[in-house]
Amino acid sequence: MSTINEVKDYITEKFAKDISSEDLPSDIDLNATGILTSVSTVQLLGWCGRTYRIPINSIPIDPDVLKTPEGIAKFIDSHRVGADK
Amino acid sequence: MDEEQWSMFMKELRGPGEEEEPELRKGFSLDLWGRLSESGLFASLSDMGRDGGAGLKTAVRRVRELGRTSPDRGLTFSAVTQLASTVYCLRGFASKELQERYLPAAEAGTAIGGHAITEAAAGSDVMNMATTATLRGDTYVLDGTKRFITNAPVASTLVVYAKTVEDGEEKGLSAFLVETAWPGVDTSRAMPTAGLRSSPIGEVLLEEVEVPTSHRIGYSGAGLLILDQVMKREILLAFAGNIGEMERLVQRSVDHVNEREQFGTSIGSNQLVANRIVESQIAIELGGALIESIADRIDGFDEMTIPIAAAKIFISEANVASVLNAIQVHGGNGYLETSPLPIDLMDALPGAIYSGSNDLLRTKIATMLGIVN
Repeated sequence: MSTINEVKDYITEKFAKDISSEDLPSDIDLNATGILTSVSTVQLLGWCGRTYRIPINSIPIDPDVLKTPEGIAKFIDSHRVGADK
Repeated sequence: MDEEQWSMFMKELRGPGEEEEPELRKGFSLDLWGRLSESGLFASLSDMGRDGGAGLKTAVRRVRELGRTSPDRGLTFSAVTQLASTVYCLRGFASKELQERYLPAAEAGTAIGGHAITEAAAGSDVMNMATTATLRGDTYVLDGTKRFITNAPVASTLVVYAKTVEDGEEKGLSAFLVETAWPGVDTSRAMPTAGLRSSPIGEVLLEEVEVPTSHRIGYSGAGLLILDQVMKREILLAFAGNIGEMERLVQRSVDHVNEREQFGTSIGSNQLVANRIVESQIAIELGGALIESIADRIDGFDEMTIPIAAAKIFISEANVASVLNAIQVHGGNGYLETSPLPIDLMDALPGAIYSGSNDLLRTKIATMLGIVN
């Protein structure tokens, strides 16, 4: 499964249960729609860290990349262990 | 960091007798701060790097030792603020330019720092802060009033968190390195507190303060993410200090119950009395283990919000309980104005309030567990 689909699955399962992952647009603004709040952003980052071995507590993070599912997927792919930096 | 310098300072701190403590703890001592700075404490994060390292664990160990050795809890609190708000924040998130300009003095302790977050209507509700940073050309203009800012009355730099507006668009919170001597910054209003009196706390007024864009720390709008990481380190360090302070109380209590005799024997031989000290020691072991576990994991892959909140709640409440136990075993002597124990109590109480109130942290844990509110 591609990262973007895994991201969408996680978001719809945890924070947007009334939407199916297939129906969640890749470029939806998760903050503006209220799907992500400050607490759920922390939870999302925790999931990224655990699932993809990203040292989330030790890297500067641009909040803009966490706005959309595609941004989150790019963030994961660029920071996961073994990713080319 | 020079281990010998640190050990020498610890030896020096063991100097003042019990009777001198209340006097020592009435206000901030620049002399003591200077000696603490010379010990190298503020440079202990220097091998931290962006990916963690031994620095944080060294700092945690030293702050615990400081809490155990120093009778001055306010000094420990101010030192933790310096380490987390300024040294860690700059090391973790600032540009190389800002690091080169401000880190040397912060790590030498010659420039005292703090962070300006809390406002009159935005305590726990940090996203409700009213302080703004509006981008105009190549400067941000900061306006707002901060309260309860540790070290503010003696600080030369502050990391100010503000709602950022760029091209009319709200970007969320950002962090800025601000010098307190800059025009429009006023840190003269102290807020005398009931405890932690040797840790100066005050208001910070920001009126049309022009801050170069190069003084923004990290990405625009990343303030909340930065603050989250800074507060995690602040909690780790502050409550490592609390564990040390509890160890100090246990030692004081053991000495007292062995020396004080009633009914022809030491009062410690009464198990009800001894158990009060044992309870404090149990909390030290549990809290200490929590702190060490978090220090081991914080730069790894796990989200640490729940463990850190749990440690903070547990230790802050155990700290208050340990002072109450110490007062109880000292009897009337522990309640005298000349005793340091009532001051310890007033110093321990705000632990449930600062760095995120315990009530709010309990709610946060519930939310993160998925409990619907």
